[in-house]
Amino acid sequence: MQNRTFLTPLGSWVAAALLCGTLLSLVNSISVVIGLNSINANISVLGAALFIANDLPNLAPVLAMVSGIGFTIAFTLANLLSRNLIARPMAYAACGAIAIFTAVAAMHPIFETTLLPAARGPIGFSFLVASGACGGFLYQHLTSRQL
Amino acid sequence: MRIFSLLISLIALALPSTLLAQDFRMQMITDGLSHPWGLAPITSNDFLITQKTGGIIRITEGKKTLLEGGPEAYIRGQGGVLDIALDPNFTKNQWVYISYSEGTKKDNGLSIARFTLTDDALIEPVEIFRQSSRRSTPAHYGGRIAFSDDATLFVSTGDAYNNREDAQKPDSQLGKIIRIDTNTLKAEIYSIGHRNPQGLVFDASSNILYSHEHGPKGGDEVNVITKGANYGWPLATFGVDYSGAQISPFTEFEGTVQPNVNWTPSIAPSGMALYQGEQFAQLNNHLIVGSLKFKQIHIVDVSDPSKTTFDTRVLTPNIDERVRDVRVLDGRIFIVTDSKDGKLIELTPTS
Repeated sequence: MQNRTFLTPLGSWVAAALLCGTLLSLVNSISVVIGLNSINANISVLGAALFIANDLPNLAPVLAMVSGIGFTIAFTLANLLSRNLIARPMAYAACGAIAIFTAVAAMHPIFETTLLPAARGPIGFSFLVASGACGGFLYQHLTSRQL
Repeated sequence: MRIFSLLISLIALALPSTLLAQDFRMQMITDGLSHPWGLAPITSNDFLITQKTGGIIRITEGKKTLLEGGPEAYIRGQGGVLDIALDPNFTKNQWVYISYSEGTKKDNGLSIARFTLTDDALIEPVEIFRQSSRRSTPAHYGGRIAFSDDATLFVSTGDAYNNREDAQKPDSQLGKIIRIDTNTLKAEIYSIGHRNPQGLVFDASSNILYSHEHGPKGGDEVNVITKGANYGWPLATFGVDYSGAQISPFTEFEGTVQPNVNWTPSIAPSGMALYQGEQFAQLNNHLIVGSLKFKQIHIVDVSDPSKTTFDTRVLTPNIDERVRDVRVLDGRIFIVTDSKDGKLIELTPTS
């Protein structure tokens, strides 16, 4: 008997994009708060939490859409790679990370500036890419249980 | 019906004190300018215009001449040949100051050079200012220049977009208004906390420096600039990022100056002149500001500069051109519009 979950591949893709969009929004907001505190804004932990929460409804949906588009290509590639070459969790996480890396990196030549403040430094950029890996990992986790 | 007639009469009585769009006519002096950015009228028939894409055009009696010489600019994005100003003693020395972006993709910044104008060339370049804080983006240069007296030149600098926190750092020349002594070439930071100021005017009669700046999405500002003041960016702003993300949780912040005008939604202000003259007497002591976004001209009432909030209104509803710079000479108003086919236009009264 199949161990079916409540999520179809489409639902898993949506969940992965939503998780990634949420994480990207969190990383970006935290990066902005760190930047402001570096110039003596003195934002408290509670203030930072409110700031992050206020950003979520505006930023996460947009970033989830961008992630979803990237994941469409990335998960197709991950599916191919995981058949013979790489372990399935690794393949999806790596391709999710590459998708976000590509999306964020592509913004620079298009706009000639870095739209996401978090992407302006190596640490923030790494966390953005890690968010993509989390999305990829979630997708493979949800879909593997359907097999 | 009687009430309606009374209302019309009251409006008619109020009209003479307020200029309306139909009181103006747009008289084109020339077109075919490539993204004009800065305008310096020498006389009402002789103009110097910078083109962001390179080159300085002289328009004499309607005839265009591309001047030889001029700055070697880094032309990319919002960078290129930017503002232009005549020396206060121009009639004696023929000196012209030009701001421009220079450098390379990974290391560029704002500079100002002085040239001597001949009939058809800019010669004898002298570097007046070179921004010490470099950047790798071709955005938010600021770049407006304005003289306050014979030897004091103010320049506005932007935050380079990616370096917004630098606007608060006193050792960075990004996001500042800088005062330059053109004799000694000493440059000092005059005010901090600016995003991308593209309007700068000194009112010699009151010794007040006015600036306006682009906010992000919302939060365009007009400020009265005082030495040592902090204008808040990015600690406090009425705007949000283009993505919809917040830039700061604060619209005001201790130790920073609140704007005298907050344009939200943004009008994308560019160019500014203080009107003093007789041709449009109703505009005396008003700042005239171009709008790139709405293709309009806005006015700001600064007849009482001590007010915390200045009244603003739209002077021309829509002129179908992005207004890049505005200048007043002898009571006459000149504008340049920013496009591949940019124009020099004079606003003239219809009667």
